[in-house]
Amino acid sequence: MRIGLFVHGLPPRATHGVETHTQAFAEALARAGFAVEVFAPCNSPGRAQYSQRREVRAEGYGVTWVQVEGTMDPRHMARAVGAFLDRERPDVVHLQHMIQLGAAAIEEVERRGVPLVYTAHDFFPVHETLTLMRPDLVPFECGDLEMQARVLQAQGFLDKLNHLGDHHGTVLLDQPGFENQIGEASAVTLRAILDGQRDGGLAEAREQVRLRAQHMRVTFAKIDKRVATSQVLARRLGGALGRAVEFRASGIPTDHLSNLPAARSHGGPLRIGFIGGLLKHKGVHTLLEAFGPLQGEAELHIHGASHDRAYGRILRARAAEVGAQMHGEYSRDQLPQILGGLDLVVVPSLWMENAPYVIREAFAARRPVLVSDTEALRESVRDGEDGLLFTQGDPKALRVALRRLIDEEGLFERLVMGITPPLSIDEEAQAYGQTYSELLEKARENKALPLLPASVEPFAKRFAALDALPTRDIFERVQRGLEKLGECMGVAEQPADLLTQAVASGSPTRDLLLDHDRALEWLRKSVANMELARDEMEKRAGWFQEQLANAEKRAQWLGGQVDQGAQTTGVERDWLKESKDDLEQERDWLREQQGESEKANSWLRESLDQAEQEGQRLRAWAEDSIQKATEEAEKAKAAAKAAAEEAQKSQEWTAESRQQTAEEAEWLKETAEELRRENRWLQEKADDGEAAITSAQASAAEATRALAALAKEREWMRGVLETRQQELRWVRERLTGDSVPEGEDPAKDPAAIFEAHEALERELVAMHSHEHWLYAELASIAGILESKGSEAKTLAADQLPAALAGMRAAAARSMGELTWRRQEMLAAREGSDRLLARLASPELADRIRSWELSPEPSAPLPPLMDPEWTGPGPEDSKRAESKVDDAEGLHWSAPDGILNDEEDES
Amino acid sequence: MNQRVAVVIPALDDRDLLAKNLPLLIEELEARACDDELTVVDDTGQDLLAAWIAERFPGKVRVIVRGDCGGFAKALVTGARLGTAELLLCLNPDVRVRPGFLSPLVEAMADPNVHSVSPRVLLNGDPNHAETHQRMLVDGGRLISQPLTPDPDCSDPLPIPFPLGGAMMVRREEFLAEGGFDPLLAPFYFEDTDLGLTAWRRGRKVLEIPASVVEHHHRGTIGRVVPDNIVRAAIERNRLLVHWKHLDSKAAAHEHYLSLYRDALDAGIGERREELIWMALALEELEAATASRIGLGSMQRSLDAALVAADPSR
Repeated sequence: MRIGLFVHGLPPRATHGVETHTQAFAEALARAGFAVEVFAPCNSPGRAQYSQRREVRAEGYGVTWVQVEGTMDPRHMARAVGAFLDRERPDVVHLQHMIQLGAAAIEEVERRGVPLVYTAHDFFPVHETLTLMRPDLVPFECGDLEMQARVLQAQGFLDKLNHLGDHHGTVLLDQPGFENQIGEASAVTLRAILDGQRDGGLAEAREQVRLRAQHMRVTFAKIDKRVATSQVLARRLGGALGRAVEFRASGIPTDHLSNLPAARSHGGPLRIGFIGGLLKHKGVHTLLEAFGPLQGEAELHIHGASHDRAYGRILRARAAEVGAQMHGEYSRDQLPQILGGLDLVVVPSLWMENAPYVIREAFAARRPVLVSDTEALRESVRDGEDGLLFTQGDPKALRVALRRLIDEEGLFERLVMGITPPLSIDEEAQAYGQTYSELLEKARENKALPLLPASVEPFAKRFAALDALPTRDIFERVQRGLEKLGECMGVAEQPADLLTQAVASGSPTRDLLLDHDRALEWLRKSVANMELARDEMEKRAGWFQEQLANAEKRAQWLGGQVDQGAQTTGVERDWLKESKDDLEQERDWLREQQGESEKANSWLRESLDQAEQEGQRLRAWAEDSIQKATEEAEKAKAAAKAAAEEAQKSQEWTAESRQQTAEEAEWLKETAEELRRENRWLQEKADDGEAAITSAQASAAEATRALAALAKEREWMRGVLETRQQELRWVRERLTGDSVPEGEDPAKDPAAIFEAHEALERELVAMHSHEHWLYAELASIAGILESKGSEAKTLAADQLPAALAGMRAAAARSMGELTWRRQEMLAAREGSDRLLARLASPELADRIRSWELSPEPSAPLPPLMDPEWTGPGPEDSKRAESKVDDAEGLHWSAPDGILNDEEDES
Repeated sequence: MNQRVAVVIPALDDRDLLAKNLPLLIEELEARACDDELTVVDDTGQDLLAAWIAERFPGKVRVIVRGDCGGFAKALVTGARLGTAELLLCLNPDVRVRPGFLSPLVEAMADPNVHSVSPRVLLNGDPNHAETHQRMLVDGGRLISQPLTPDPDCSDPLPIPFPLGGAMMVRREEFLAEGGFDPLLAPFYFEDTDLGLTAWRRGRKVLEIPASVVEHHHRGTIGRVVPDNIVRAAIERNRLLVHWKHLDSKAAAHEHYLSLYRDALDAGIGERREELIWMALALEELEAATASRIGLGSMQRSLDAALVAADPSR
């Protein structure tokens, strides 16, 4: 059968009575054949909160330590307990204490249908104050919840008294031989609180106590077997919680104590001993006070340590005064030696006690015990049979009892003889074993498998049997089964090889654990930061509290001053009242601030919890964001690099362009200048040409004007640098009629252009003169014809036809010559037109044509065969002569050949 | 195509399912008019069905009452033994037939090389989710199934790894001669897989007949009376047992063993109790699995070849 033992601590980490007993009990159960697994909280540095670690002890049981740092959170503890139960699968859970485990542990056990036994060692199920003692060391009744609330309130008050040291549970006030620890004023306040005369915080304390009692009552009902280690405890717990509680004495390990030397066998003075924690409610100071007058007649040995250092100092000082020996801390295995050095043990407890282990240990070593006379201790020690009782907290009564043992002959021996051996731990384990079996049987009856088809039952039973095993046992079975399977399959690898290959092939669990580890580290940091913030808020809250206290003091003082108003002037009284009001306002403000601060503190704590939850999500988000940001940064970096390169290229290109532009501008400037010079030269040339043809050639003047217009046009073109080249080309094309190749300077040979122009002019003039000459010829022919006609009038009739034929032939030759000339002129005209078209724009050409000498024939040409035509008149001849004169002015010479030919033909 | 069919329905207290699904089946058998047999085997061990069926379907359904609850496989054999028809159609009570489903199955069984056939079994009537339409393969040393999406336009018979136990047709005499389902796999799941793999490895064929359609309201029977964790444990245990039974090469066995070893280690470290329990349940049956494996005798196809041949997507 597997037993889960739940306890709030275990040696070596915790060495008080319950913890030590649980360890011994676990060992005893293991000896009895039970599989025992202890579940205990601990606080080990560096471990994750609520993480679990298992150790296997040489005594044959396991211990699972659950990490709890600071205040236990019931929800997390419930989860930890649940995981433990699922893994270890105890058949029965035995709860030795609820401290640090909480009611949640009980609920988890109940949820799984595991039988639960609870052994009460104190009043924890009913009272948070286990000893049922007020801070002033006055006991109160079990179930007195009002007093419990006041005790909580009083402890809150004592916690603020820094000079008390590190243990504020109880204080010495009126104990004989000891000073009041907290001073008279604080003692007055403490008593007022305990008497219910101070309201501050009492309502909250009452509510806290009420809720705890309510919850505990519900939880207590879920326990299958409730046991208490004394009858008093069983009665009172049962009464307070309304459930039956069975009394069952605890056992102790006895073997190591049974063979000690007999008490008082040494022949020396009586050796009185105290063994246990040096706490006020244990009443050690009462023992020291009682022992004082016995110094020299007996020895007093005090074994134990105290975490109440202030009280420890008091005890050491008093022990030195009365000659008692303080031996300090001891370990459990020193107990035989300690008891061997004592003749009797005193238990001077100021609280009601339950069933102290030290009494049974003393009895196991056959040492009588003197105990305070309380209801519970009367169960352990029978007065006058195995020990003596004395009035609780009364040093005189204790001294009387000790004196009896010194003086009363045979008393000590009678007491030793009356000692009954205590229950051993193995006997206790056996008794509980029986209880476990009964509970398990009952649970199995209640927890029958659901009604299944008979065909499924064998399989379902096998499943249930395996499911009832601890996880590691199933794993072990699987490993053994795999060994057999490997044999069947002929797998030759050794386990080490298999392990290596298995690990090499990856483990989802390992990956998950690593992920969790990283997440945990991040959360720890977050929690640390939040805790820093919380500490800061608490400091602020403390400061507000301090200010409030100061304000209250001042208000109190001022109130006193106001009360003495009769002795003060009216003005002062008013001032004091105002001051008091101000201070009360200030106090109210500070209270508000304190409230706000507490709210903020509360909020911060909630935030801390939320932050822990948010932490995981944020971490995932942050990692994702970092990843994305890294990628974006890489992209941006690459883009920036590309942009920089582009910018560099652009800069270089800009510089290059600027250089080119500057060079081009310079070139254009030079070109423009050159063109300007060329234009000036051309203008000069044009002017020269104009001068050359000024001999009555209106055309030359017009040409000059045209050139001037052209020059203006060129001037405009100078302003347009970008189109300069093209426009120049256009000009050249206009000037030369030739297309200008790219890059050729259009103004290289202007002289040739003007030379061609002049030649054309000359040709035109010559042709014009020739035309005039032709008209003169025609007039001459007409004269000849006229003279021939006159001659014909004188000829005989038979001679007339021949003469007429001669005349017609001469006329025909003349007309032929005229026609040929005319065609030649037309051809020349066309050439002139083409040249004009090349040289100038259409407008310019039109203008130039308008300068031409219009053909003005002196007389209309006679029709060749018109018998009525009589030839030109004298006016025509005159006009012809004047034109000839004009033509001669152009140095145009007549073509002699025509006349000569005509004469020859004639 | 007038071969008679013995329809056998092993049933627990499935009266609600039978009330819903039997009328459709009876109608189909009457339409076929081939003197088919319809038998319900009461496997409750409590004689819960006979009177109820006699009242609801007088003269239409024969009820055989078993004295105990022997499970699906045993109940099927009981019904098959008492049948007389050449063909045996096994149906679950939660299978709802569609009109005309039977004849295509009978036609497909005309090929003597066909060991068994299943109609296209639509999970809850979903045309895109045919339980029969899947392939099996060994991945990472473990035998797994991969559901495939059926082609609604395909009407040709398709190879499948195994006939679905809840709707399969075999030759009755042959089935009984082979001893029915392997008792190694009791109480349920993977018996049909083993039957199909064995058939393929012996050189036979198993086919899905798309022209024949039924609906399966999955786990309408076992899932109602057995907790999910038990059902899952049976599935995972039997997956291992079937694999062990049919492992036929040293290399495959080695790969499987390493995979199992790694998974056991991981489950142990990760405290995944259920996985460990599944393995432990299988390992407890190692000797029985070995005996079953020996009983297979010599095979014509390796497991790998059988899985390839049985792949409907091939």
